[in-house]
Amino acid sequence: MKKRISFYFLLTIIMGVIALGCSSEEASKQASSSDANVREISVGVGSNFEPYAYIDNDNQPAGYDVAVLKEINRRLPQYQFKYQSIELKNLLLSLDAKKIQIATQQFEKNPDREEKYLFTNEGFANYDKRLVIAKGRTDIKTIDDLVGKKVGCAQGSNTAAILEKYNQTHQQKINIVYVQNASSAVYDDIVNGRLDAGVMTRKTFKRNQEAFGDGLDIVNDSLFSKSEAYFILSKNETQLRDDIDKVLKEMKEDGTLSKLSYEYTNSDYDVE
Amino acid sequence: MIELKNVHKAFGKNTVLKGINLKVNKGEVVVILGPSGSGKTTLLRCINFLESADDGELIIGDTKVDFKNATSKEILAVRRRTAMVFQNYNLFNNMNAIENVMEGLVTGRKMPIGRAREIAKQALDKVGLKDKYEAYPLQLSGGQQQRVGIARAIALNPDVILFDEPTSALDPELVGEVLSVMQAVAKEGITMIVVTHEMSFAMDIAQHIIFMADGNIVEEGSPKDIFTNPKEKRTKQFLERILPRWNYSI
Amino acid sequence: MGSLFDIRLVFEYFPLIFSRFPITLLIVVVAIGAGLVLGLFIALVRMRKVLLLNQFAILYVSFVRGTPIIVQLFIIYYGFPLLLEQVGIDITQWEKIYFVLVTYGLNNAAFMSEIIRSAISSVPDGQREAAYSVGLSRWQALRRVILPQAFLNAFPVFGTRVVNTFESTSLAFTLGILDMVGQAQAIGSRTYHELEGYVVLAIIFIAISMILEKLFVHAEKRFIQQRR
Repeated sequence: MKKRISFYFLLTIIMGVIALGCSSEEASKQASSSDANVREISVGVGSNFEPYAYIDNDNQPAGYDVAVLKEINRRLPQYQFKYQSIELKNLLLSLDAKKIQIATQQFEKNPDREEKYLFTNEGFANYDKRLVIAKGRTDIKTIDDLVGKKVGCAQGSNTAAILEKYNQTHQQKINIVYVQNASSAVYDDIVNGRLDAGVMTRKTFKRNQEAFGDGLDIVNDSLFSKSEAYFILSKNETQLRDDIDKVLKEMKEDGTLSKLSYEYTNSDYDVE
Repeated sequence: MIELKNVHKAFGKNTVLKGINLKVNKGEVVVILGPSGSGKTTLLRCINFLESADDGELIIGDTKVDFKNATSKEILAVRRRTAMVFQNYNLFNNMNAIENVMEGLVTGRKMPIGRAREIAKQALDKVGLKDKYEAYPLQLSGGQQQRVGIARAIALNPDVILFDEPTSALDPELVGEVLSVMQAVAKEGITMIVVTHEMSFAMDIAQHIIFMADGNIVEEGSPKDIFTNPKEKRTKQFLERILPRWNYSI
Repeated sequence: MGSLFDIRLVFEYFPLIFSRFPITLLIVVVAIGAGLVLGLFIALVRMRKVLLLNQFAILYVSFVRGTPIIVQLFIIYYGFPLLLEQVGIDITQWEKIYFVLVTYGLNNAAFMSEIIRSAISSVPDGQREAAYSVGLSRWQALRRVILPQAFLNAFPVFGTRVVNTFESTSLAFTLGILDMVGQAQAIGSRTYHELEGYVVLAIIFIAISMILEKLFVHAEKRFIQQRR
């Protein structure tokens, strides 16, 4: 009995090690195929923001952000981009820890981030955000109306940064609620009043409507924030940043970026 | 032949053995008597290093070990020439009777399993447990467990078997079966050092009696000398207390 | 147009999510295996009070027991490579799974060492003495007499530990390991249907925990039966 148990135990370990060995062999094969002059760049892609940065059916990083980066890489043969999915809240940490050189999940600029990291100068998507509320509510129009209200946002997001800044500089505070980036939960919370408001782009709002139904309204009267999405790089990657900027500019001029944007978001990259 | 020279042992400030000298000849049955706390059991346990004596010397056969700086190799060598029967039997709970007896032979001495099994069977037969080879300790009575303990000791064919109050934990009606097994073992000419309170065993079986008190050997001699003609006052006191009826026969 | 919860998706997601089970299993098996070996070593160091190693072991065990495993994951995955970089060793680009396996192995070693330690001390001294008296060395006594009995004593706690480890593997996704939890979240964010994935996870976790518990109870009974 005892012998049999330890046998199965050993068998499982051996199988596991073999499986592990195979997978890392594959990885090393990929790595060795690149020749010496090509620099390998690790790209961290957010894992939970469809259609921009998510994990596809084949368990690979996918989305508009990845598609843009792949096109950039195609035009920059001196680099070899390698993609891995990382949760939003650990993306910047991974940059700090030198696990990756590029991070992307529709990152917006803000002063804190700019101090620590390098942003591309060219944006690759409009990222104007608006307040989202339960259908029929009329008491929330601007950020000042959020005082004393519960507002959901993802930890590490720019929305969170803006709301936190607001609370630092104002006497009356907004009640910030950090949510897992689970859009169905946010939708449900706003509809049911557990949250008073959320913050989304128009595109994300539409995607939510398609997925869950008609329970939310978007505030059209004013913008919550006006910005664009950029790629974030480690502070010392200025050469890489300049190369990407050059290619992004070309892609805007020759229509490639528009094409990709339509493909993934049904709209142009520079419209709200 | 076993010889102990000037054995000292203290537990903290409490000195238990104060320079014991003892000689046991091959084939001899020695019984150690004495009031509780006199150091009998400690002395026994020092012989196979279950306690480490602070000072003194042990000679067993052609091996000589200094207690003060015995190496683990020396200790193991001494343990492989001795065996012990414990008050609480201490059979290996995870093994059945025959495995208990085989363990020292197979694991300790690297004997082939087949041969060890034969020896173990003979030993168990000798203690009258022919039908209990496969029984686990919990399935056996105290007397049966202790007999397995004795079989475990004799199977090792040691230079000496140390008996540490082998009947003290037994129900009175089970004492007899263990004593008669011990008697049979003694008849085979195996050297035995026995700490016990069984006076009948001491009188009938022992060739040599040692009386200990307060960490010293007070008196030693043949059973006849000790029981019928004790010289020391402490021996007399002890015997009077433990054997009141012998007062009349002296 | 969809609704918040669609029962059909539960069935649709099930095979997708369960297909990541081997990753979870790998983490559990390696964690328990490494935990047992290393845990035994730590337990022995502590029981024999080996100089310096003992103090280190005490510190190590209380650190691991006193911090959430997520913190340990971050330290091993993000912090440790930075430390090694200082001495010129670059492991930042290693596969994530290695960091995860190391973390879970080290984590389990601390817990196992405590389980093993208390299991060993629950074996009566007389067993060890008897083993010595028949000429077994320290290691032989441990292997042949003490550990088998300690194993039996520790079995129920050990079982709980395995189930705990199994449940805690869900944190590996934080580093981007696509285990069952990761798969559920990935599906959730690409389809905007998270709830169904979590239902699938709940079913799988409950089922496997129950199977594990049953197995352990069954095995325990068989072990004990042998001795009675």
